[in-house]
Amino acid sequence: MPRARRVESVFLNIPYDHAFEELYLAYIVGLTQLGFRVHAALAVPNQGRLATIIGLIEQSKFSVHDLSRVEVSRGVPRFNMPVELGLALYRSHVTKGKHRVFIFESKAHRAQRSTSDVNGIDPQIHRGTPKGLMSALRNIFRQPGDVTTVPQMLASYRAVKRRLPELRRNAGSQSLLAAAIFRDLTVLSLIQSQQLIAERT
Amino acid sequence: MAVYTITNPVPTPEEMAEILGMSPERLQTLRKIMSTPVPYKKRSRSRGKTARKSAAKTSRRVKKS
Repeated sequence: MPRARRVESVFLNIPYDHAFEELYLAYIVGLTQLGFRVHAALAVPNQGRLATIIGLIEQSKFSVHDLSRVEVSRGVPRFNMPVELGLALYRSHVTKGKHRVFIFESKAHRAQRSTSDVNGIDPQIHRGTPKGLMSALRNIFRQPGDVTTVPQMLASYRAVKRRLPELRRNAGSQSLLAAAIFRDLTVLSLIQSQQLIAERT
Repeated sequence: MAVYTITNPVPTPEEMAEILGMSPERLQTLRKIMSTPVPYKKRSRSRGKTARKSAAKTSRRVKKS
């Protein structure tokens, strides 16, 4: 079997909970269709978790941090996303900007208030919708020839979403956040992407 | 805002499966899942606001009689 080509990686820092599943799926489909391998801190055990996350950031050229859910959850503010953003910003600093950091938010101007230290980075605003997210991803990442469009990304998102019941049945899990489903979603996005490429040519 | 061009072409499903350590059998299963047509789910109108209003009216009418 021929050795796999080098694929650019992106570290994905998002809230992993049921309420965020739609955008989680949109991130996986969108980033994969743009040509990335997505690194996510899924199924990382608590022991050594920080070291694993640092390792994933180091393996990635880019990192995407979604700060749209930093509000209080069950009486406690969610600090995981800002902590991981801090790690990535330090990585960017020590690599002299080779590691690129992107911030995503659902509301304009909120990140500047919640995390004012990063005022130099313009957040991408997705308005909490898959369409907004795809547009935001495409604002910052392009393929040579700019071939993948937002409608195509959304069509793939919907196509993969329709297969979720079967994926959940296969994995014996109701949650999309299981590590096995994450791998399935990545490969399904590419199968769909291949179909789109075949239709284009 | 700078735009970053991704240098590598989009990997094939086979390449990604290999990178992720996925078995060829699982890849085949996923291809099958993706090629099986799934019907669109039509949204039931009975849950809509108009339908609820209409149901309430009907219910009131029944009570009167």
